[in-house]
Amino acid sequence: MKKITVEICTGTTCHVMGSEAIMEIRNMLSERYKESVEIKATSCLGFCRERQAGEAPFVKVNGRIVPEASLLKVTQMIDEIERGN
Amino acid sequence: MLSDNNASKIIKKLLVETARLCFEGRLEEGIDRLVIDTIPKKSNANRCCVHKDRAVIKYRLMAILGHSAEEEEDELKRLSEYAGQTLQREEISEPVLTVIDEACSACPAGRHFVTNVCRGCVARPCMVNCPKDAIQIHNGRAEIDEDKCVNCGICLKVCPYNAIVEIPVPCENACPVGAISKDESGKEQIDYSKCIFCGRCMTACPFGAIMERSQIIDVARKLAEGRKVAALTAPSAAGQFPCEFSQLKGAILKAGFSEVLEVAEGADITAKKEAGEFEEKISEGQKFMTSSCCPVYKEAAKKHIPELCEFISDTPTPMEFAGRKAKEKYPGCTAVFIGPCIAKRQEALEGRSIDHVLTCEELGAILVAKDIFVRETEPAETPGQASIEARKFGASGGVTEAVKANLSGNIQIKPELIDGLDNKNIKKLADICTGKTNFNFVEVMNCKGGCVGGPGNLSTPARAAKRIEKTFEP
Ligand code: SF4
Ligand code: SF4
Ligand code: FES
Repeated sequence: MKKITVEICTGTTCHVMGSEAIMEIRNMLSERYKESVEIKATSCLGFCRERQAGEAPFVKVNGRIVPEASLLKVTQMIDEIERGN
Repeated sequence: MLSDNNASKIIKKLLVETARLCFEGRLEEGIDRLVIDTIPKKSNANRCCVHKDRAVIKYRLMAILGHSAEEEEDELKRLSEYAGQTLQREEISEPVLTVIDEACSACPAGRHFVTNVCRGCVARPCMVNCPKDAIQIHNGRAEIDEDKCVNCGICLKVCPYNAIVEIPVPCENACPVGAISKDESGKEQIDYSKCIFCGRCMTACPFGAIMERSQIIDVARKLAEGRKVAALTAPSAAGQFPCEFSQLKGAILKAGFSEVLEVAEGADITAKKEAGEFEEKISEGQKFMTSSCCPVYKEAAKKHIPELCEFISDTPTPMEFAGRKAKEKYPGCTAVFIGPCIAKRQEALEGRSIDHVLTCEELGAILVAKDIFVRETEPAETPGQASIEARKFGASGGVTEAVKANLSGNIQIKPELIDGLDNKNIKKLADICTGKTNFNFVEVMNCKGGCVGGPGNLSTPARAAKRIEKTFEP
């Protein structure tokens, strides 16, 4: 199984826009991901400072950026990477 | 409000953008355009069309500018004019909440409804047990006659398929004192002779129809003008950002506040006086005494349990003492309380020592608008001192611990905790006035878990409590 890294931004902008709610993903991942997915909290990823990147909160999944991140969007991105897209 | 829903996200975004315009000195010029930038022509409408969405955004911005949606007399009055008024005003007016009737979807009154899970079974317990003969079978499925139904809920309980649901009106359902109800048109309105400013309706409404009248622009403007503005941080505020508290203090100073004073310093005075008052009153034979720092609780007693008022401590709140301290130490300053609480806005309006109240969410919006990143900020220390007990005032049980620490030992304290003011606890509080009690001190917190569970927070109560613990453990 591929190693997947989820970086949840806890910089001020993302925190204010609700990134803490995404931390819950730890408890929501299905069993088969428990081993391969690593979840990290990071300081500002820098996206909020360049307006084109979309809107906070931001999460990075294996380097791919998820803007306006929600539990759903992040889980979908994990699935997508897992399927090899 | 923790942002796990779209309604609260929109409000936070608007707070940030409005504050940014104010710091850039472009509030009046840019505020009308903000409506269009938020809902551009080609966006997917949340409601019927972009025009309705824009109308709602306009009222949200009125609330953010500190106005009531209800005060609108002329629909053609532009936001820039409201902004102009906000930039001029020196006084804040009541009420602290506003209902945006354009956003309220006039949810149908709480009723029972048969879903298509119904199989029109042979036993038909719903029909047989309904005391009002309100259920008929049509096309093989149960149907409720709304004119006959009295919402007793028996059908819901007896259906073996769980096919019948009760549809609540979320705000009315959340209000513990029946203060919010429909007007003739079905839209909600708040009866302020009953409202205790708990903010539950605001967090419950999925349309975000109930908003606070913010003071963010009053504060932002004073910061931009370089006035002397002191930030008074509530004990629970210390845990709301993912950084050291000292960094948060640094960030507040960087945002332009001239000083930071921990409200915990006021909590030390409150705890000391409250302990003295407790010993005196109990030794004089009073049955019990309750805490006094939660304004929702005091409002609830005043408006709904008047017989309880004589048991409430007369000691002023930590916010009040901290405000007095700020005015003494920094003469001429504007004192801004920063915490999780809506009702503190009301308390501040009634007192003299606090000029403005911001929620932690609004402080966050100010930091974002100023591009201040707390984790990258130089830590700062405040000159004042506060005890560990006072710093834990914001979590349930904290007040009791702080009072305990200040007792002289003459009277034994037997504490009771009311953690969250729901209908049940309100009834319980009414009952203890008359009945016999096996406690002599009652700590009452409107929010479950204490102020760390307040509506204006950014972190979950558990995370906030943990950060506070980590910061202040010796
Ligand atoms: S929950 Fe209440 S305020 Fe919100 S839309 Fe429904 S009726 Fe209106
Ligand atoms: S603020 Fe609380 S008391 Fe007032 S109407 Fe809303 S839910 Fe009811
Ligand atoms: S705070 Fe998350 S990208 Fe900057």
